[in-house]
Amino acid sequence: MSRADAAPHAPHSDTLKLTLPNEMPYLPLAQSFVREAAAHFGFQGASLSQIELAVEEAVTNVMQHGYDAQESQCFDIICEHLPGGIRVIIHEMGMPFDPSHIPEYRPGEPAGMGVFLMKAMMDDCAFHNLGPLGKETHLIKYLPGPAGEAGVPAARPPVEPAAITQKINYGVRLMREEEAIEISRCAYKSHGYSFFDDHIYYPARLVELNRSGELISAVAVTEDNVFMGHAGLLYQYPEDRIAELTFVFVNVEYRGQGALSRLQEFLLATPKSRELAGIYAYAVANHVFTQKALVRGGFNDCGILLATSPMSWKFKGIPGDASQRISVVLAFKYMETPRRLTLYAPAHHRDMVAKLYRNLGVEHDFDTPSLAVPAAGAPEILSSVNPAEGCAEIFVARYGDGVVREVRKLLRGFCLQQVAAVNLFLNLEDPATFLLTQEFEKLGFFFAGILPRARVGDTLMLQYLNNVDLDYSKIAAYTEAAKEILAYIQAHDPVSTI
Amino acid sequence: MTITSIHAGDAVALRVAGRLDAITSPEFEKTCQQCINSESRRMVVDFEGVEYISSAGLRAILLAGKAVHAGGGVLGLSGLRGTVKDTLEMAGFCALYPVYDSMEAALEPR
Repeated sequence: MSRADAAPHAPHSDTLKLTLPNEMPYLPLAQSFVREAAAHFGFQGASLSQIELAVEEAVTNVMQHGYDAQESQCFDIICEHLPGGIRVIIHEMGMPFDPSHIPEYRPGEPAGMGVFLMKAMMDDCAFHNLGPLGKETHLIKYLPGPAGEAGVPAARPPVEPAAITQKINYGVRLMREEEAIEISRCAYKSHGYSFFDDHIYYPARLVELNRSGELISAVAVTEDNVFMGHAGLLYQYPEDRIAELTFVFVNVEYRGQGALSRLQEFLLATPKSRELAGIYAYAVANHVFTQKALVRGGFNDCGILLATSPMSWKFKGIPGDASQRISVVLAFKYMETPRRLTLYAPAHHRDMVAKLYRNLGVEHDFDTPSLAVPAAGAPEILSSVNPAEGCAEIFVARYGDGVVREVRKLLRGFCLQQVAAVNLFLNLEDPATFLLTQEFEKLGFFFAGILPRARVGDTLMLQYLNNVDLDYSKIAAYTEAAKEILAYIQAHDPVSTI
Repeated sequence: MTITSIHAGDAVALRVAGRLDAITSPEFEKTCQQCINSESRRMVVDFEGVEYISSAGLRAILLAGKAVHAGGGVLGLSGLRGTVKDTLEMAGFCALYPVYDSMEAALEPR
């Protein structure tokens, strides 16, 4: 599964890291590294000597007291650029240490002198015990104010590309193969290396996906052919009749030009070599920018999948909640008028399912199956997992004997792999879905929405959260429909309703 | 780091140049011990050429001061300046030991 997002970009970050052996001959290298970093951040003169001294005290503590004699280990020194200052972090995996046992320094006695000097030389000094992840010493120093050293330059401000404010002329067209590298770079600028689908970081793969027809890439370019942004339609599975609007990025300097909308319009209008019954998109719900863009593109909401992406997913420069796993709003747009179907939504979700279809602009018939026993034979179940995302999908392609047991087995496997979110897709055109949805719900699955024309038919989506701590109030739903879906899901979440 | 020892009567001066840190301090301690064994009654550490001192250097001075005092002598400090002076003052050393403007002043007969 993937997500569509048009994320802006991120503040500049100055973080430098050096890994060294815990051997005294490396002390000068540690000091030189921090001294040069501090000078780079604007420190000079006596302040540099003070930082250097504090670093020696911290590093010799690690070398002399962190490990047994002759124990060869490494430790990290990290220099972070703070607004108007520097934070030096010494991270090591040495012996546990209780800073409360450090004796108070008294002139004339050597005990406690090192820590005394660290505190005297820096504006802040702290020791952090990270349990099995080791220990950290944090040293912070701020640049002197006007009364301090003369001529100290201000810390280098973060470098952020400025958005071009005046409207420019640009065009949208299919990607040229030599532009694939620009797409990868644009993804990096928007998300670092945290994007859910690593295809995006391999230009050669993007070229191959476009050649095979699995991906249709559109780019926005200036009149001078300068790359502005990208959006793609991706067929996730060979049998798919719907494609996902994804890999949507616009370089920060070209945001506000309407490129995202024009890319969407272009992709919708571009002739397709494969059948395209509809387009869907997952809009992240830690902010509403992408959801708004999809509304403008004529998409309508039909589900919400909770906690499908790790909270570490980066949205450079965009405000949004980053305190829990990221949920997504599923939006859909038919590309052809669907034929009227007879669907077998379970009775307790029938009204909601019908409402979601109406939100997509279609009406279907709902029926109750006459047989109480699902089809016999072996079930056919398709599944996939994205370990980086901590998310998995299960499609029930055909019901059969022991289908619930098979889904339970898959679910257990995903839970053991510490997959956080498992999404289950059930064919609404199959009468067994009416009969068995409650059995899946007994396993802990609960309502998520619908996805029309999916690989196994029009589907009812259920979801399972594997020990995910979720605060529904932090999920940003933009449309009234999305808000209603979220409330419905919360009402059916077995954990939320405990 | 370089250390030059200068004997003048019952006094010995150690003129130190460079850095007194965790790497160089063991050598400084060794030189101090040799001078203390020479039965000099007064010892002066001259910091005129010292550009940097850490707690390792300060501990070495404390050890030297205790050894000199144990033999009935006195340890003095001279040539303090800049950040080295700041560090010694901060650690309370200027209240522990006599401080002289220069090595020559420290070595004058008492």
